Amino acid sequence: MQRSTLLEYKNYRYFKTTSLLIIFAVMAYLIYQPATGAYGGSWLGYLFGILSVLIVVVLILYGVRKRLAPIRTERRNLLGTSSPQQNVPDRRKREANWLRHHGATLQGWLSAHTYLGTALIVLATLHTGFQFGWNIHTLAYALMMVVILSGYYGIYAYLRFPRLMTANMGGIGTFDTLLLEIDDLDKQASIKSLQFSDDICAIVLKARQETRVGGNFFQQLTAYQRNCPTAQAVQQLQVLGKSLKYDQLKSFDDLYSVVAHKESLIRRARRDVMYRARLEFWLYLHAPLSVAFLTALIAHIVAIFFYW
Amino acid sequence: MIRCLFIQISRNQSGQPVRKELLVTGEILQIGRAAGCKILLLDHRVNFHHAVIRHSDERKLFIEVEEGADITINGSSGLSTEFTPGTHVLVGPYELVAEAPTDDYDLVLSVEMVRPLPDDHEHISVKQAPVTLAGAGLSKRQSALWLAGAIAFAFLILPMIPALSPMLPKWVTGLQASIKKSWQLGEMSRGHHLISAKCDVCHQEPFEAVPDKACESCHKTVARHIADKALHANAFKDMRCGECHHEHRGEVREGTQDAQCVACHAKIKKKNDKTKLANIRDFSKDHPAFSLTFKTGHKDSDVVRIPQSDKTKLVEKSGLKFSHKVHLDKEGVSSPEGDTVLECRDCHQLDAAGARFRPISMEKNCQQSGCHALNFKPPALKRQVPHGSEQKLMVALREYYATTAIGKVAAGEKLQCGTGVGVGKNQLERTLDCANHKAHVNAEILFKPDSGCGECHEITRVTDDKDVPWKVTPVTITSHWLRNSRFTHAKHSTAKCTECHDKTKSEKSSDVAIPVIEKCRECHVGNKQVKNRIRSGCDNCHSFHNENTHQSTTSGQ
Repeated sequence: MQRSTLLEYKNYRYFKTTSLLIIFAVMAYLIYQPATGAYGGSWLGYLFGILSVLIVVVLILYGVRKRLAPIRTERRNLLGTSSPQQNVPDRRKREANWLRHHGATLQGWLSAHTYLGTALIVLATLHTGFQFGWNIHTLAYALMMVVILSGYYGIYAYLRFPRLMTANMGGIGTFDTLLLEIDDLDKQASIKSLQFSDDICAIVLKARQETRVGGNFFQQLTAYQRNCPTAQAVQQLQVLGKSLKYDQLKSFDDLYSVVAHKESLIRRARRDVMYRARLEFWLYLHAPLSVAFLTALIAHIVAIFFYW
Repeated sequence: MIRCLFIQISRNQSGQPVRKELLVTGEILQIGRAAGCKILLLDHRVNFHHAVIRHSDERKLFIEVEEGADITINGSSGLSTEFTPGTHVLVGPYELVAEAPTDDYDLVLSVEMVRPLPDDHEHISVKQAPVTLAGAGLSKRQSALWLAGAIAFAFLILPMIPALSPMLPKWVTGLQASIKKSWQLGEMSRGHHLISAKCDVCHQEPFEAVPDKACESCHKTVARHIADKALHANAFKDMRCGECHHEHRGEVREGTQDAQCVACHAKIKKKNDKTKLANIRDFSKDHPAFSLTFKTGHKDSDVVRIPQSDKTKLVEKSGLKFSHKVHLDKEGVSSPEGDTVLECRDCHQLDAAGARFRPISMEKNCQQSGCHALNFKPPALKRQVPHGSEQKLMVALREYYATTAIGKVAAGEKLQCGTGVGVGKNQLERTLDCANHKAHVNAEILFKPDSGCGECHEITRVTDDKDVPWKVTPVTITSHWLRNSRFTHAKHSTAKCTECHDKTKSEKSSDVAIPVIEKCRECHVGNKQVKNRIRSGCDNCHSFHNENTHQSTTSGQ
């Protein structure tokens, strides 16, 4: 459903708009070849540059809009149930109504953000005239490309991971619930292990105290803990269980099943952290690099006109 | 037998201790998790058999650790200790404290769980291991600020400093020079490499386009495109040098594409209705026939241009008589060494630039070989007359014959003059008359219209000079037929001369053998690439900064 709402927003409104833009741009580039070869300083080059800057402004406005959304909601809540538009001039009311009816929703913004970002690849590339070098101009272009490509990953992540997360969690509601359940199993295992030898107790204790969900950046992304004590406990209990006396086996099976169940929940919790990390980490590229790109873009424009 | 009051301390909800007392007796008191232990501590951090309390030989009570376990005695690790009042022993998570014994008990021992396992789920993660990227130390805002700051500093502020503060120390400006390169769009054009770090030579004011005066401060002799100043100004208005000359695009040669030329020349008649120029879009399509420049005098301006399409007028009036057919005869041409086969390059030698040919001279090309020796007549004298003006030749003849005559008179020999020469004059006058007569007779032979000098030159008899009554037509050989173009013969050395200039059958020097445009088009096409042809833009042959281009082809300008 998310796919249809993001990319197919309002019957592909922004897809159609940007497709037209791209087609016109490419045609103009192919038809108009300046005498000295295509470059950013021809009139068409400048046009592509100006269009690209305008698109960048719209793309950045999405970031602003996105951050404003929760503030707006908060303000509305603070104002209570009464309409916040009471006592405001008619013009403001009309504007607010226009906004409500013309779909300036966050989702619409995101759809436009996605497609305009794609159009930017084409326009900015044509703006370069395919001339690259070790300079601020190409740096700005490269940063822009990384930002857009990371954005594509973002779309992929938003379309893919939420469903995987839901499937992974099964019937368990939240991550905290999952941790509570793991903790409960830990306690059960501790109690059940008391009657067994010190070896078994130590294994269970270690599994309880040293098993980690999450961790540093890479541990979160890979859902991996090196020598996970719980996984080791499951393996070691399998071995130790073979040397137990018959009358202990029933209790041991109980203990083993608790530890094994805990291990499966641990895996699930780690996968949840992993999906969340994979869903988020691109933003740690996308957002800072877009600020870096914006700075490089300003430097690019200043450089061009400073030494015109 | 040990009688021990075992006090279990637990905590109620408000944290207050709750004591539960128990009598424990035995020869020894085992502490551990095992069912048989007198002091049972149910926690999996306690070993099955962790420690034991027993009497020593001196009947003192002490605690001793079991194998494989460990205990902490009064804060430090130990194996055994005497249970004196106040002794603290840590067994797993439990703290055992020996209190003062009473008469009823050998030992009063309180036990309290002091290290309970955490009761919340956060020990699994969050506290020990973050579950969010922000928790793992990543920060969007911080990295954004660092990146943006670094880029702004290195690529915006630093490159700008030298331009804004020329008073900065040299090392700072030197440092900036390298950083400023980050602003350059591309590699400097070859000619401007030397000033690639001196931006302000061309970019004189920030945020202002490079003015023409910056270019002209070095390039002082660049010709306009159109000779007429007013017309040039009208045609190019405010156009700057920089609009064609892109100096930060490596070796991109401006004007290699015809579009800029075509922008005007495709509709040149519309732009200027007085022009004689044809509308041109492409060399291979609508370039008109070449116009040949014929030299008519010795001044640079003594030229006339005739289109090759006007064939009847294509006659070179050089004043020379020359048959290429005779000289290029396959059987050879007679010479002192016998018949010699000549090739074009025997006479036509490329100039240093490889563009055109060195001028042909009588001395080097005709006399040197002995073919055209300017012998006295009769030739038995084995002397040559000089190749030069008529007067120079006559002076040489007179000097020779006067010297000869004086020699003969001095030797007492009789002078053999023509009939009636020097009659009635004294010997000196007669000797001079005789010498002049002989010189004149010889000159008559040399200046015959079809032999001697007349073999190559057009000679007319004049009446206004009795001493030298002959006039050799001045030689005006055209050396640059296509004046408004560049043509490099060296680049065409793979072709035979006769492929373009077929002079093998030419008997007269008036024949013109400059190839027509169709000949060029056999190899060259215009500005669009065609297979097996050479793409040739306007500037392959023409130069933009050439005032001549329009000077001789426009009328009234």
